[in-house]
Amino acid sequence: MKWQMSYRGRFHWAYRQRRGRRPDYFFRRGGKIVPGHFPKRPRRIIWIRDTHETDVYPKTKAISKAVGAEEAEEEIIHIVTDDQNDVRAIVKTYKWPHDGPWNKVDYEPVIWFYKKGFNRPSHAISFSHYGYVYHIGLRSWDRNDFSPRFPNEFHTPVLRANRTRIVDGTLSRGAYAYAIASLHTREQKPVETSQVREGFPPNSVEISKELTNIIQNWEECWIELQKG
Amino acid sequence: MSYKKDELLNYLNAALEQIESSVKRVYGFRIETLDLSPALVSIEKARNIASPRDKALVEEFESEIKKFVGVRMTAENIAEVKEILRHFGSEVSMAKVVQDYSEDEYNSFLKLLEDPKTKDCIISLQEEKAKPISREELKIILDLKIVEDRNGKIHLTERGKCLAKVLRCL
Repeated sequence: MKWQMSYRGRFHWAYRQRRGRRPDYFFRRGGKIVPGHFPKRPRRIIWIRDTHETDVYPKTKAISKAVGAEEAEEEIIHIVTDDQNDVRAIVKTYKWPHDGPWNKVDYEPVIWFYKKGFNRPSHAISFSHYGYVYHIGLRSWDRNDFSPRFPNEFHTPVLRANRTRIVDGTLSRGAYAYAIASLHTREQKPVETSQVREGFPPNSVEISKELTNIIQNWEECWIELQKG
Repeated sequence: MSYKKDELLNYLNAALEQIESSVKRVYGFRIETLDLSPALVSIEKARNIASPRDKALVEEFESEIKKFVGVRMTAENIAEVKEILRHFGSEVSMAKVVQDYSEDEYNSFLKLLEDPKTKDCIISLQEEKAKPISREELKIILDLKIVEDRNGKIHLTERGKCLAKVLRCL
């Protein structure tokens, strides 16, 4: 290993070495002379050279470890704009491996509603595989916040919102309440990406049907949102 | 959506009970396979009246349970069936609990679930051990018809019993 001393160390009286000679460091320990490092082996710093598209010079950036953030495996985006109502709706479909008691993959559409001139959504509608949930007055809009998951339960996303409203059917209401209860009981945290398993390919026909249905009826949803 | 939700939940409950009793029979008489036919009949009835969204859930349950038709029951299989029953059963009984709540009641119910104290209280009421609870919380629970005041004593209602059952499993 190539070894370089710090500037200060190089000129310290005790460490002036003859040129060309490898510095040898020893400790005295109980009359014995043992090899050691002085004053300290320089800390290893790893820098990554990363060229960003817009940068002329390569940028150096330190490695940071992403902790706990869960990533959807796939994201399908449909954008619907309605200028008359000053609203933009974006339907994003996330592919989550479904790790509930039933072993299957879930495609989960989430509609994000933006008011005109805003670049962050104010409302969202998420669809677990049955029943849907309105998130009113979103406090956070980052995708990574979007799902503390229930590893053993049905996959019901919880967005951080001021209020959530559950629509369509009491059975799904019950499922949602159950998910909430279990979340709080277990103080559940997001599953790390490494734990996410591969699943079966989903039934694509069903998904597209669901998506088209959402896109067709999204105005209705928005009107309902305004009321709520 | 009051589309026969009662009926749907009753059928599902019946199915769950039938499966449970057949699991017990496996233990009791040392039979090797589960007798799932009565349960499957009631699941089918439930499926026929369910709305499309509920149908998806019911069908999933059905397909999971059908895997055990004619299968020799080992301890592992039984554990698996019980796990499925627990999950699905909790959802169904939770659905029963929230069935006739209005939007506001439902929202306050969700908030109630976030509070571990109230949860403990409901569970302990089921075991007939009274735990101290603040007046405000008591009022909320009373409003949500989870408990009722009978002769100055607090008892769980049917709804409350259902809820306690779910919360205990968590």
